Amino acid sequence: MQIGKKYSKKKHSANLIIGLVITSTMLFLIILGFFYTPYDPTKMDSSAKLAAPSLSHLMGCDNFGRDIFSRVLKGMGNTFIIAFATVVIGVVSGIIIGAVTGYFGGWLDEVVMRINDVVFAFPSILLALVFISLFGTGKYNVVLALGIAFVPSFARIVRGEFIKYREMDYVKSARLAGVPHMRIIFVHILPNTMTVLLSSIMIGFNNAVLAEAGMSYLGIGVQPPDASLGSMLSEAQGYLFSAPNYAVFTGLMIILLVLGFSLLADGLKN
Amino acid sequence: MRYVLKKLATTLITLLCISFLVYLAFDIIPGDAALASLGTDATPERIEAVREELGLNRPFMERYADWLTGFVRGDFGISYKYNVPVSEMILSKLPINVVMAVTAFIIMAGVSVPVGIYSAKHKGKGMDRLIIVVNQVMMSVPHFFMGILITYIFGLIFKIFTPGGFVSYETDLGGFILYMIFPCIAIALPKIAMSVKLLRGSCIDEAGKDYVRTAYSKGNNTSKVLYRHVLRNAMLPVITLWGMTLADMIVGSIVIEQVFNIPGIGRILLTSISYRDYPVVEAIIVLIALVVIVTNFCVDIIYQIVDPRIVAQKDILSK
Amino acid sequence: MLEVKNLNIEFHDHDAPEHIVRNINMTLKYGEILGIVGESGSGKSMTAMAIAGLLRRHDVTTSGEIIFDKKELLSAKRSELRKIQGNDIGVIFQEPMTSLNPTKRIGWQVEESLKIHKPEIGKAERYRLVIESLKNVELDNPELIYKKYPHELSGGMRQRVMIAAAMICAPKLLIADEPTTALDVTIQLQIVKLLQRLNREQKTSILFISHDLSLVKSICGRILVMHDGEKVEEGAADEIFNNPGQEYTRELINAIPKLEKPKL
Repeated sequence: MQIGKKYSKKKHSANLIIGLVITSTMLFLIILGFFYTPYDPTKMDSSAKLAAPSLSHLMGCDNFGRDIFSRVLKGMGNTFIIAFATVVIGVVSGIIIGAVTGYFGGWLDEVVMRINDVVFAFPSILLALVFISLFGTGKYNVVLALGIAFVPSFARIVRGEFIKYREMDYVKSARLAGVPHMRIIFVHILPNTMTVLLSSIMIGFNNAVLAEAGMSYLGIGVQPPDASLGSMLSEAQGYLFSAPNYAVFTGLMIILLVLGFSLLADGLKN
Repeated sequence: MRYVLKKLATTLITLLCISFLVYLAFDIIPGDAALASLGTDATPERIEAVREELGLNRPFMERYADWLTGFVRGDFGISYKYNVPVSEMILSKLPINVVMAVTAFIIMAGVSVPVGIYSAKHKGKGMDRLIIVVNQVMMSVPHFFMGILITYIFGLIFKIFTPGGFVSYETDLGGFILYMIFPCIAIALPKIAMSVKLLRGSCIDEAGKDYVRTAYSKGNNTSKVLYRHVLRNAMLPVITLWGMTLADMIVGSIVIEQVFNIPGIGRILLTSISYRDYPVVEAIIVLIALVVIVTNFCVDIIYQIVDPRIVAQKDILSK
Repeated sequence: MLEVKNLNIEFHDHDAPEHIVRNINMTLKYGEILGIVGESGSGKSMTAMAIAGLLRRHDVTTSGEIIFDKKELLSAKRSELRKIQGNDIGVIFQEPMTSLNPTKRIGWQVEESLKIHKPEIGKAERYRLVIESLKNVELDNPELIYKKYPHELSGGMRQRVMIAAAMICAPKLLIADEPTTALDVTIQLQIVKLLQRLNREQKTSILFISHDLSLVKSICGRILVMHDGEKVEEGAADEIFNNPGQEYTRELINAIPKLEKPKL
C-alpha cells in the first residue's frame, strides 16, 4: 500500500498528454464538422441504406442511407454547443451567486444556500425533464434546463472558495485600504478560484454531454432533422443486429469526448 | 439525537419546498385540465363550466393544500389524458424502477469495495494499472450506451436474453430476474468505476496518515490495519458519493427502461410529458424527489454514525 | 537490553539514494532514559522508527544490527517483529492530533494492543486494565474518556491517551518521538513528569527523541547528539550540557532561549 511518489507523477502527466491528444482531436473534428462534412448529413441515398463502413463511407450509412461519419460530425457539434452553452450558463450564474453569498455571508447566504440545497438534491436530468414538460422540447430549452440544473454545483464550489479567501489577510487589508467590494470579488479573489473552478468546469462539461445525450436519446432533446449523438443512438439501436457499426461508432464518439475532458481534468488537478 | 431531529426537520422542509415549487410551476403554465379534457372542440363557456366543476377556480393555496393532503394519503389526482387515478397508473410501475435502482446499487457496492481495496493494496502493479485504465474509460460511457452494448453482446451475440422481450415477474419470476439483471448491470457499471476510483484514492490517502503508523506500532498486521483502521475512514467520501448515486440510479433506470423496453415509470413519464398530462408528471416528479431526499437523509444519518466528528463540525458551522 | 550497532539507513524514495543515518551505535540499559537530540533532518526520528520496526521496507535499505532483548530486529521477520511491537516496545508520536484514529473510541484504541498480544484476557478484565491505564496517565474520569472520540479531547489529553495505549501491555521499552513538540509549554512539562514517573514506577526504559536540548536534559540521564545522520557526541546529560565537546553541541546549547532579567 505504500510507494514512492515517482510513479504517480508520471501517471498524471500521462493523463494530461492523452487527454490533450483526445480532446484536441475531437475539437478538430467538431470544428471541421461546422465547415465541411464528406457528405450532406441529411441527404438520403436509398442505394446505400445501412451500408457497412468502407473507404467512401468511413463509418457506414444509416437506415436512410445517410453517411454516419458526416452525421456524427454534425451531431458532435450540436452536442458540444449545447454542453458548452449549458456550462457557460451554469458557471456564470454560479460564480455570481457563489461569489456574492460566499463573500458577504449573512441571511442572504442562508436563504440562497437553502434554495441551492433543494435544487442540488434534485437530479439534473429530472429537473430538465420538468423544464421540458413545462416549456416543450427543443435545443434551446435543453440548454436552459440543463444550465439551470448545473448552477447549484458551481455556486457551491465558488462559495466555498470565497469563504476561504475572504478571511485571508490580503483580502482584509484590501478592504481596510478601501478597495470596493466588487473589485475585491472580481480582481482580488476570483482569479484565485480558477484552478479549482477549471477542473469542475471540465467535469461539468462532461456531465452536460452525458445529460444532453441522455435527453436526446429519450427524444426530448435535439429534434430531427438536427443530428445529435443521443438521438442517433436511439435510432441506431433499432438496427443493432444488421448494422452494429452505427451504434458503436456513435457511442464511441460520446465516450471519447467525455474521456478526453475527464483525463484533462484529472491531469490538471495535480 | 439532536442532529437527527434537526436533519429530519430540514428534510421535511425541503420536501415541502419542492412539492410547492413543482405545483406552482405546473399551475403557472397555460393550458389546464379543462382544456386538456375538452380538446379542440372547447368553447369558452364549456371550459368555464369544466373549470368550475374541477375546482380550478378556487384560490391557489387552497388547491395546493388539497393536492398535498391528497398526495400524503396516496391520492395523486386524475390523469387528464386517461381519466383514471394517477396512483393506479404509477404505483404498479414504480416498484420496477425501485428494484432496478436498488439492485444496481447493491451490485455497485458489492463490486466496488473489494476491487477498490484490491487496487489500493496493489498500487502501481500491473493489475492496478489495468483497473485504473478500465475505470477511466468506463466512467466516460453513458449508461444507456452501456445498455446498448450489453444488448448487442449478451442479447444478440451470446443470446443469453431476448432484447426487448421483457418478462413480467407475475408470469415468470426466473425470466424476469434473468432479463432485469442486464439493465441493472448497465446502470451499475459507470458508478462502479467512480466508486472504485474514489475508494482507491482515499484508501491510499488514509494509509499515509499518522494513525496508521500508530496502528502498526501496536503490532497490527497489514490486513488488520486495513480493515480495522483504514477502511472505515476511507469509506467516508465513498458514502457521500453513494448517497448521490442512488438518486442518479433511479433517474438512470428511467433512461435504461427505454433501452431494454421495460414498462416502468419512465415510459409513463415520457408519454405524459408529450401529452402535457400534468397530474401524472407532477406526481412522478414529486415521488422521485421524495425517494431522493429520503435517501439523502439516510446517508446523512449513516455518515454521522461512521464519522463521529460530523456532529461537532456541524455544530461549529451553525454557530 | 537495547543495543544498536553500526546502523545505516538509506532512502530510495528520490532519484538519488539518500544516506539518512550513518554508523550509529548506542546502548540502552533497563530502566534508563536515553535522549537523542538533533535538529530536524538529523536522522534521530529515523533511528527511532528503525528501532520500533516502523520503517517502510520497500523504499529503505538498512544495515547494521538492532538487538533488543537478545533478538535482532533489523533482519527479523515481519511476523516476529509484530509480536514485539506494542507488547515489548511501545511508541508515542509527535502529533497527538493525528496519531489517533478519528473514527474509533478512545477505549477501543487503548485496549487494541491487549487484544492483539494478550487475547486470553477477558472483556471485563480488559476494561479494568484500560481504566487503570487511563488513570495511570493522570486522566480524570477515565470511564467517561473510555467512551469519547479523539476529537472530543485536547492535545495534551490525546497525548496522555497515546501514552496509555503504548503502556497498556507494560512494554520494556517506550519510544517517545518528540512527544511534546506539538503541545503547550505547561503541558510539555506535565507530560515529561508523567514519563519520568512511569519510568520510575514501572521500570520502563525510555528512548526520548527531541530537538529541545533543555527538555532532554531535564528528563534523561544520558544524551546522544545527532547531526546529519551521524552521532556527534554521547554522554551523561549534565556533562554534555556543562562541557560540550563538540562545536555543534555548543551551538545547540546556545540556541536555547535563556531567561534574562528584563531590562528596566
